[in-house]
Amino acid sequence: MTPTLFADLGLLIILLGLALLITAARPAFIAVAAYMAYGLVMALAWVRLAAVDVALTEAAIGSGLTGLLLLGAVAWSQRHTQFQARRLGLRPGIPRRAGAGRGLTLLVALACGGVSAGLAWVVLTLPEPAPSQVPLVQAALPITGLGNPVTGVLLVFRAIDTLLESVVLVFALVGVWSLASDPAWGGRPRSLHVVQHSGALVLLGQLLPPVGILMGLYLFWVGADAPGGAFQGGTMLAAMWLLVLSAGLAEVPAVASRRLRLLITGGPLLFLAVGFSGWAFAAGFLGYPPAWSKPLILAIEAALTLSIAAALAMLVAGPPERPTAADPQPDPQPERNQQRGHR
Amino acid sequence: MSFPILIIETLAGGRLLVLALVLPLLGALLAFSTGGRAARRIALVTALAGLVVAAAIALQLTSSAAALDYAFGGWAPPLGVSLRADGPAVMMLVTTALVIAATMVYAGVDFQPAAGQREGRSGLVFWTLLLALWAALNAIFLGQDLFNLFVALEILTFSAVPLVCLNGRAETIGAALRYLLFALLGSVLYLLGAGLIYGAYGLLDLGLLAARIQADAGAAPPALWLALGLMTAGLMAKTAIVPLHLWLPPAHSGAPAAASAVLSALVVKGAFFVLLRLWFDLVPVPAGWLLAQMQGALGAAAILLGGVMALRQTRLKLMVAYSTVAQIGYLFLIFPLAGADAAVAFITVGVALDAGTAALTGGLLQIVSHALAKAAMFLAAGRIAARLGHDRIDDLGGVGRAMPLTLLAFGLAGLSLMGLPPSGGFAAKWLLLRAAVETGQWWWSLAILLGGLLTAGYLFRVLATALREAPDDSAIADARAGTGPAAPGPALAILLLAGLSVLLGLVPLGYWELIQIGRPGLYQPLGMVP
Amino acid sequence: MSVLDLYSYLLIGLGVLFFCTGTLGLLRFPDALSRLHALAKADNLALGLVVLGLLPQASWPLGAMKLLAVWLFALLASTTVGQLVGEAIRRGDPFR
Repeated sequence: MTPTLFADLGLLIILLGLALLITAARPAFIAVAAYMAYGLVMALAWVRLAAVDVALTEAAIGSGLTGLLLLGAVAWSQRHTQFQARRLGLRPGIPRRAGAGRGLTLLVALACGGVSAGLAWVVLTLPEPAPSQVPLVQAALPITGLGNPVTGVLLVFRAIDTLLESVVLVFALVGVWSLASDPAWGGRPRSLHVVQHSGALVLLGQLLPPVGILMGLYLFWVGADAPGGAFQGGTMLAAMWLLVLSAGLAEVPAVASRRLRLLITGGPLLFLAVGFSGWAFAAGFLGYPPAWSKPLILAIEAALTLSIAAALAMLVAGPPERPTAADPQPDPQPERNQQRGHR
Repeated sequence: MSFPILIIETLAGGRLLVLALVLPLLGALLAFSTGGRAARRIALVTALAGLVVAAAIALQLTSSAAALDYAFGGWAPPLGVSLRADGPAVMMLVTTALVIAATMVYAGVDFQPAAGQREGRSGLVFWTLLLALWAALNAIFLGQDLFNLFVALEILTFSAVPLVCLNGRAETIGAALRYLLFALLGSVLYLLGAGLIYGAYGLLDLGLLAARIQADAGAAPPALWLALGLMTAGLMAKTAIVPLHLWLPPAHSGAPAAASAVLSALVVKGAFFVLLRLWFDLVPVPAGWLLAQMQGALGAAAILLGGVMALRQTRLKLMVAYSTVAQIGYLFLIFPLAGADAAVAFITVGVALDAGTAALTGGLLQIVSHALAKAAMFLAAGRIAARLGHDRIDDLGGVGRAMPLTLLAFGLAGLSLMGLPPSGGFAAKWLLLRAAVETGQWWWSLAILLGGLLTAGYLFRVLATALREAPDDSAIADARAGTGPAAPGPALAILLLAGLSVLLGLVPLGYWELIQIGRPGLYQPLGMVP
Repeated sequence: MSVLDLYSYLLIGLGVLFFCTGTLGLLRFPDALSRLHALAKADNLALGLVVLGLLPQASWPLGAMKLLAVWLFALLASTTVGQLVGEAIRRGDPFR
């Protein structure tokens, strides 16, 4: 057994163990923690498969950002069930049932097991070497002036998919905002304010962002020729913004802010504009004139990076809430005032 | 294997396909960016443009009698992604544009910001996501690429789910969450299947895949069958076929009427349309008698269960939602009817049809007529509930006198759902029935007939109550005094939808020519040479 | 095997030892604060040893500087997170 095979086997066992832990863990917090670890190990597995672009995205979005969202949901639901239910006599948002019936659990387990077994069998029957469009992409890549075939696929050959994906993010944000209460509409998301103003966090919020922003921009810039791109760079920028926001160094923008909305839609709108210009100057919608393709792609990626960063950060920040000071009976987080009182 | 990489845009008509997809998308982004009262104006302008584009595509298609194609950026598949408008796609495009435009007219004054507010929550979310949903549906109808279709399904999910809980009440948020979980399960299964197919063929384009699958007929790799099984299961969850229908009634009845209309009329059909693409375009030979029978059995179960449940409801909107469960059932009868011995030909209304074409025409006609009728019905139910302040079926007395136009629309839509001549629903069910009889699968005709009886049962109950005099007129009178004379726009929009769903039935066989456009020999069953 | 390789093996081995020690502390120590202590101290040292061990193997100067930067950022992050977790533990709030 070669050392690399040994290491891969180790990765696999850890992945399977974590997957089991995610499924079996009773407290949601443990499941989420295992999920974040799973994402990081999965990123390593992607690196082993030479899919560095996927690894970066998995680590940044799959583990980091999704993990953060899930963690926020766990924390919120814990507070909600503990405080709201007891003090305000409200029913928790999700009815706490004793869990699905044993029959249903068994059925789901059987279905999952069946699908897994089927997949395992079928994957072994797949043709070897795997049929792929890589030769075609390699042949066409010089026309685009790009060096990274992944970026070629994402922004040239299958640009429509990327355009639609970037728009999905905007609509997902609209969905999150739609959960606000009507009187709170237009205001600022306040979930990040709960974090205590801690000296260490403030220091990190001042030290890290310059480096992190540089790193995010680098990831977007290098995407044309090496692994990286708008999603990875945007996540990095979003993380830096969230750090500054949760350290209390800047205020979360109000959802009514037109500047914020234009920042969020700017990337997709520019993408669409370049797409339309393809009718006049190139082979069609979402085509680029050969001499201009690289600068145009960089411009789209730059705008997308900013839009993705803004949308991701606002997704984490959550729906707008009413300021608790103006609210005589603060129902969102009753314990928050208590903590303030202690300090 | 060699493919041309770059193709030059030849048909101007292709650009219309891009517009059909991109205009609502642009509208949604602009509506979200500007917000406020402008969101609604942007939506209305987009609706007008979208109607024109849909009509232009339909004209182009019928005049040239050939499908329209478009390759994004000039990159031909398999490298690039393409759109294609064939007959069924155009039927769906036009229906969607009509339903969305009528819904916008209906929703005109709802969702306005409260006095003193520049922008309301529900208004911004409704107008933005209605346009997003439209873009997603058009992308689904035109999509020719398995992954592109996945992204379109995702936009559909993310724009449909928030519409369910637009009123912000705890129970509708619960319904929306359940809908989200079902839809995401469907997405995961679909994506898994698409990945497997790419692993087996290295292709995602439906046309290229179909050619490859046909080329190695009979020796398709097991990966293809597992992938199709997974994708079918996923799309069934999104279509809400029994037993995966549990999410639908609370979600569709809890949403505001304008949202319910679009969700019930269009959104479930989006997922079903992908299912049709898989089983009619990707695998042109309807695969496997057993699988088709199973899908048909689920359809029959949905017709009966949905009908019985609708009969038992005491709330109008829940009844209409269960009626959707039943009507979706008819769609799944397409698979056994068009799949099994489809070589049987017969003559109806002077046109010779083979059973396969009859079943598919009937099925598509059912999609369209149900879309128009159900949108009309939900909007009518919404108006009634808004006027009365409740939607208890037993207390609907006097509605016939107070809101005759709305009730007329409700009745006309009901005509189509029941399948009474000359409605579109009648033509659809008649074609399905004939196909069942002619192919010797009489058991499906039982489900169709029983389903019609059940539908008649629950609709007559509503109509009979509504036409009764109110036991005491004060409730209606008060409500009327409160709202004042309603603007005629919404009532006319509802009436238009209901009327169209009835008029559809007047030219039932005009459709099968439209449906055939761009699909050479597609419904020619195995062994028959076109 | 050159002297540099030997040096690398030695330091990385030592680093792995410290990682194991830290993990042992995480698993066996009685309360959250001391577990945090075990992690913060041992893991940062372990990472430093691994980085120092890898330095001669990395390309000079960019690769080496990247390795050092990784250590630096890990130090910064674990210091801050340690502080935040510690504060949260003192407040008796397990989540924030």
